[in-house]
Amino acid sequence: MKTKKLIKALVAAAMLACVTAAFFGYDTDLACRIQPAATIWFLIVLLLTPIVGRLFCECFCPLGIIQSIVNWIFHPKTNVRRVCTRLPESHAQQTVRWTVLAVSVVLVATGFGAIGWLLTPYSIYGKALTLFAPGVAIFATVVVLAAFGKGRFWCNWICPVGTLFNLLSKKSVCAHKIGPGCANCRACFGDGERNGRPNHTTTEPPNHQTSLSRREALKGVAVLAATEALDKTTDGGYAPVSLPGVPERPAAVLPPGAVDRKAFNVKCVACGLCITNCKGNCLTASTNIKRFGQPEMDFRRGYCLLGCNYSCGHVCPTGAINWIPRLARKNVHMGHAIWKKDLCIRATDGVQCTACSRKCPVGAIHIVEGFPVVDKTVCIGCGACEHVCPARPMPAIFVKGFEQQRLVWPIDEGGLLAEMKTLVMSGVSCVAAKDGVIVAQETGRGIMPIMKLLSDGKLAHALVVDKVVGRAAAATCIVGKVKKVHAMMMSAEAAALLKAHGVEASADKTVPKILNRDLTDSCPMEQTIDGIEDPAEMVKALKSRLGI
Amino acid sequence: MNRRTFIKSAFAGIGVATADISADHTTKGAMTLRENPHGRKVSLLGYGAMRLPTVDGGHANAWAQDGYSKSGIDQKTLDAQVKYMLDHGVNYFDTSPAYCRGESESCLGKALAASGYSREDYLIATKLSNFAPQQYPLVKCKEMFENSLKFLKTDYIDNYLLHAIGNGGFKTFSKRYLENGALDWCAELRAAGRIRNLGFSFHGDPKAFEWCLDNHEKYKWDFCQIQMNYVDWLHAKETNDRNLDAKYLYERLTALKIPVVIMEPLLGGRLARYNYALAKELTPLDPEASLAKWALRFCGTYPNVMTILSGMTRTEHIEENVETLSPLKPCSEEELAALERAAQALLKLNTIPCNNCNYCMPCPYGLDIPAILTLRNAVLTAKTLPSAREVLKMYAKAIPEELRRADHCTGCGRCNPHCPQSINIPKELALIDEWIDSLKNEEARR
Repeated sequence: MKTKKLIKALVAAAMLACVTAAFFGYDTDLACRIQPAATIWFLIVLLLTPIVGRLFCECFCPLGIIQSIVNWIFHPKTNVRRVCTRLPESHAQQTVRWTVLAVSVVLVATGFGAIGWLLTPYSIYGKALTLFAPGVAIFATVVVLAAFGKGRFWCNWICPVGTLFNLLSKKSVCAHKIGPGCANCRACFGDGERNGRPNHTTTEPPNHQTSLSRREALKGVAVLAATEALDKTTDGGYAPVSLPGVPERPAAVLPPGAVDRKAFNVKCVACGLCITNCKGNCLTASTNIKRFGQPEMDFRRGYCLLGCNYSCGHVCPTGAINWIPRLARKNVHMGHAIWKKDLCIRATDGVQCTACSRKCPVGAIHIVEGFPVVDKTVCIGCGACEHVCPARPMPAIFVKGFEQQRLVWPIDEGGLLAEMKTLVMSGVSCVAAKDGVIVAQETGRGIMPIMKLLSDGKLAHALVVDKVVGRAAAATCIVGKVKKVHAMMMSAEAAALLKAHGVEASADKTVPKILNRDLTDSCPMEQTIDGIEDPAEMVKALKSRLGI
Repeated sequence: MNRRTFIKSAFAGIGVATADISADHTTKGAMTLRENPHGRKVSLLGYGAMRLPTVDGGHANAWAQDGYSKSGIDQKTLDAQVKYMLDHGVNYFDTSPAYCRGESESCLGKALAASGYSREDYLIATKLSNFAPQQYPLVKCKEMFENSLKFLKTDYIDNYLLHAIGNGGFKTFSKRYLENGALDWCAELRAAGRIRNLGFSFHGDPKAFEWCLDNHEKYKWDFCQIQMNYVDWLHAKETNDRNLDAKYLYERLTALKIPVVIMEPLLGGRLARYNYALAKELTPLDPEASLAKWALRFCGTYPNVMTILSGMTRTEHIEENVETLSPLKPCSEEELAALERAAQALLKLNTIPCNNCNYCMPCPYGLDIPAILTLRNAVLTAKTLPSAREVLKMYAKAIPEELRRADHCTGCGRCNPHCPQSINIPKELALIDEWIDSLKNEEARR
């Protein structure tokens, strides 16, 4: 019996340590996977419950373990604490716990997922660790109840998961048995008390108002950074700086991999593990009533780093944030940036600012005649622009989150080729794709489109589909280090040239020569490079002929 | 003031009974003196009051990190330092109305008054620092001069300078000194004896320099202040296309018999701080000498140099430099060759030529420009390249407030005309931010 107890204590200590460490960036996040959530892991836990009883609450749940510890400190002489969980429930207890469970389920089902999951143990513990004020408050309540109540009070009276476990473990094989003749006197709770029913059965509802108002306050304190109207007269010193406010986003930006907003809301228990593990320092707990405590982007202190291999998704124990390491970070579009003319320091300070455009890691912001123009097909909503925007009190450029994140999945070469051919047949002259994603397309006459792709550096290791490929286009592809070329029409000479330089080539139709538009002579571009064998020389000749 | 300084200065003070301070009483020997066209001989070491000591141990042009707290300049230490310098023969004090957020003149004035020496014992140099357009009108210039006299507690200035004449291009020079008649007014002041020597300090556009020398006949420059050290001697143009080599400047001035005052002999400490590339070349010749000593000796070697200004923040800087130049030991040919090799080694590191002078500050958007550039240099001059994590840690330590880091540069370019080294600051900041971002991504990938 002693050994069994010791093993349980050791397992409990290890679990508590692992779960806690995960919040401080250690790679022990797997310990969080078995937590109550819509996952296969928790399903297994539930299925095992009829056999092993409420082992989960005792040895795995951090909140349960902490309650046990608190209990042990405050009621050191009670030896039969665990037995109490098997005791028949009082009427009040039943009412409370089943109400809590029912309300939680209804909330999750009706789109208030974050509030629904609020009372589950990992959610509370995580929020407390991330110092999210309401979470800390609930955690404190749990500890106080454990100290003054009897047994693991929270598990037995409030925790919706505890209720579920209780139901499932009624006939558990391994559960502590209560002998016949128990009158439910509850004296076994310790200290010889009779009917030691705790007097506080309700918990304080978390105070949302405070945190909301704090956020409002934060918005208010922002001060305009650039107040200097006249030029400086002395050297040294610092101008004051202030954090920008949080813009009124049409929709919050969710972490990359939280693909569907509704599904995310249902699945996420708001444990905050992603927040503490965010490499870009940009995830924060939401204070919105529907997403309470769930992660959302706040770009005041950082932005979503492209180099990050989806840390948030990697640690997410509930599957609310998918881990999609196969997908290049720039192919996950979380939202896109919106620029407001009146807030921009261009308008307020008359300064030609380029901060957003310079910072954009995907090159989505172009400065056109001094105005930032966002290329929304490229923008992924990482928030770098919003982070660096100098406009105060609100950033002039901010990110709007998508309802459904846009994942640009790489497709296999066959599918990609078909798609690119469709594009070419619909009028595009030249298309380039890399890593299974179309990266550039150009329209124009003759050799210009592929030359443009070459000068933009889009050809390296790319798959290229072109309308017509003669020796000129072939040489351009070789110089640009193309991996594979497909042409609607290719000259035999071009095919030979490509083959000689180790570039894969295929064509719908092969012709001996590329002719000019009137079909009277060979193409003028082909004539330009007639007799030249080195592709680099050919491209040089073509460029001088085209005057570029 | 530490105890050592105190005792030293106390003893020196007892020793100096007469007004003649050119005789030094340490065992080392006296400070080397150089001729001055009008007025007393000048000590080869001059004091640049640009980096006055602050209470928190920093220097005052890089103001305390908490922005506007006026913990500010450590007047007590400054008083002691000025006294120490006067006791040890340093008699040239250079300041400007723009330095240390405008507090340099008054602090230096107080320290000189408190030193107990009479006005004739030391030389004061200050400048017409009318950098902002609102200061261009002659009335404002006159006001600035009167303020200088008031702050420095004197009724004449020994050496008055047009400040950084090439900064912002020739057009700006013309607006600052020619169109408003400020230069002619300065010449009048000299004639009236309110200033003893008239000169200019030069950074930036060579046209302004050439104009001044072409008009030497008319204005009779008494001295000229240039940036000179063993790197800029032959490689200033290499560092930045808009610069002139110090050798050229020095020779032009020497040909016209205009005495030269040297600024940035240590490149804002870049030639004084330990740097493997420099130490490797110089240490074998004199293993005990500090890098600062080498740089000062280089400048002193040239006879037309009147004084070498050093912005010495810490008392130990002053002690060391005084010792180096009391008396000067000129560099031999062999040593000059080694210094040239060291200069080339430094250039190979491709550091940003920022001397931490803080002329660019305050940045209207709150960036800590010198700290960012200095960090980049620190990484480049390290013997072994620090890891990404180490660099990010250094960055966070150097610029604790995120909003003052490189990525918040708007690219407005208001700092550029102020930079005496003609650094394209927004461009450098953009490059540094790109580099920091790549390190951040590298870290995040792990």
